[in-house]
Amino acid sequence: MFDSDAIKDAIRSHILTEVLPGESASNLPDDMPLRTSGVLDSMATLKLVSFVEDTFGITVEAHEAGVENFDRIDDMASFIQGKREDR
Amino acid sequence: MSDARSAAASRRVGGFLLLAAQLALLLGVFHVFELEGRTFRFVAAAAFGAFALHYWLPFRWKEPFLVLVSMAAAPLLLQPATGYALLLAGTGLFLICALPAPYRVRVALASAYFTVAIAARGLGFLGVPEQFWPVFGGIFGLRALGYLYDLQRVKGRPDPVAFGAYFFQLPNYCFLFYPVVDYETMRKTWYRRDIHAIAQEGVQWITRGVVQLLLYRLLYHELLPPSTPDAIASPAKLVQVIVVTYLLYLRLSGQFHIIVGMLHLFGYDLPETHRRYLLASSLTDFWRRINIYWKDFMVKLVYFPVVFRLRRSGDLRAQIVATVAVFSVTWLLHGYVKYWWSPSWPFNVPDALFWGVLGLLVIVNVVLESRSPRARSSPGLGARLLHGAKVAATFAFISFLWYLWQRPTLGDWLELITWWQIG
Repeated sequence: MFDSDAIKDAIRSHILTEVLPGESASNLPDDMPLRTSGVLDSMATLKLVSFVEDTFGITVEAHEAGVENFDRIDDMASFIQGKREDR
Repeated sequence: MSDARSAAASRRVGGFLLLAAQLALLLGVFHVFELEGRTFRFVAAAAFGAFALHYWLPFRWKEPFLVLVSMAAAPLLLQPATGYALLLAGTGLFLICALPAPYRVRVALASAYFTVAIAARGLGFLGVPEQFWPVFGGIFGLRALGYLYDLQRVKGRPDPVAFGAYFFQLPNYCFLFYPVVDYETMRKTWYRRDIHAIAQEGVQWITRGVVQLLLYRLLYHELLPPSTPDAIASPAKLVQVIVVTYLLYLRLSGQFHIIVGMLHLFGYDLPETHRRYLLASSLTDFWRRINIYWKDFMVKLVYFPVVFRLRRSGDLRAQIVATVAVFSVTWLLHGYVKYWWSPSWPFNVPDALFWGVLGLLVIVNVVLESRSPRARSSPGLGARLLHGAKVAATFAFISFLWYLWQRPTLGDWLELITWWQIG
């Protein structure tokens, strides 16, 4: 139902709406660091985690919400796909 | 990923020469201004020299080389007995982390290791030099907590080279107040983009750190009145001492920029440690901008675990409880860090008040932010004036609270801030 591009688009859309209102999608490439550059703070990450859980039907644990999985849109998409395959 | 990293380490004579020239210039500046003492200048020369060799090495040898240099430098830059004791302490910690035992057993053993160290610091039964303990605390005291947390996800035996690179960092031998570098971030960002871009950013941050250290020197020697009742004889003097005391933090932020800038030279594309904290527009904004590594450390080890455990009972409630936990742990860990410096009772009333008031006001901000979603910033004059007023108010409040934090007792603070009225 969700391929990699669809996951990335959904995440990008969420970040643009909730964190960077008014920003252009072209300024948010898949490989842009978001946590390690300060774009996503802890509150924004929490909102993103809730969005990911609700949208993609997965559960994210506290230790999975670090920069390993939630720094770039690329990382997030790989993580979500992995979790969905493990279900 | 390894191929991508190896490609990011591609060498170019022109790129190297440009970086080397800038580093040589920086060494000259350190020397002319006699910046941060002799040990720092030795560390800087060692780091820049190591960079010149590290740059040309084959990719697979780069990190082992850096670890070798950093470990060999310990007995040379510190007292030899301190340096060897640190290497022994690091080996002991690594052996515990690498034991073929369940994660919980290794954490229990590491806890016992630090309990013995804390007791030895207080009772002095290990017979190590006095200089050893602040350095031990500066290297292992906090980063070990982050490493142990990340260890739960390491499959197989932990990598000794990654362990060495994480704990034995050259700048740590002269800067004992050290940013809590995140192990996971350090591994993830290593050579994640072209080395010339990473190293150039490092040079910029070192330069920024130098500017901040020079500003600190100016403030300390030229603009800071003595904190004695006689010297604070007017409201203007009181404002001056309060503001300058806060601005002295430029020394720590300057040191942190230099430290992370040096790590950039070796391919660690770490994020900024401070982001224009003097321009924070609210207390939450201040918390997010000042000592970002500490904030991230607390988010990872305290905030997220608490929030994820409680969030089913309501997001806001979970966030409030987690924020209380973060500021409580921050207060305790600041005492723990102080203990490695001096084994006396590390807590006092101004300390508790500072973290208590800051935590309380950040919670108020969290509640307010949860009720008003982020809006696109308006470029209008009114919005700019409002933002400027918020920045000024935040700066004034933080300066006031910071001055409290820097006083040894509450009575001392009260006496100084009211002396001009009664004196």
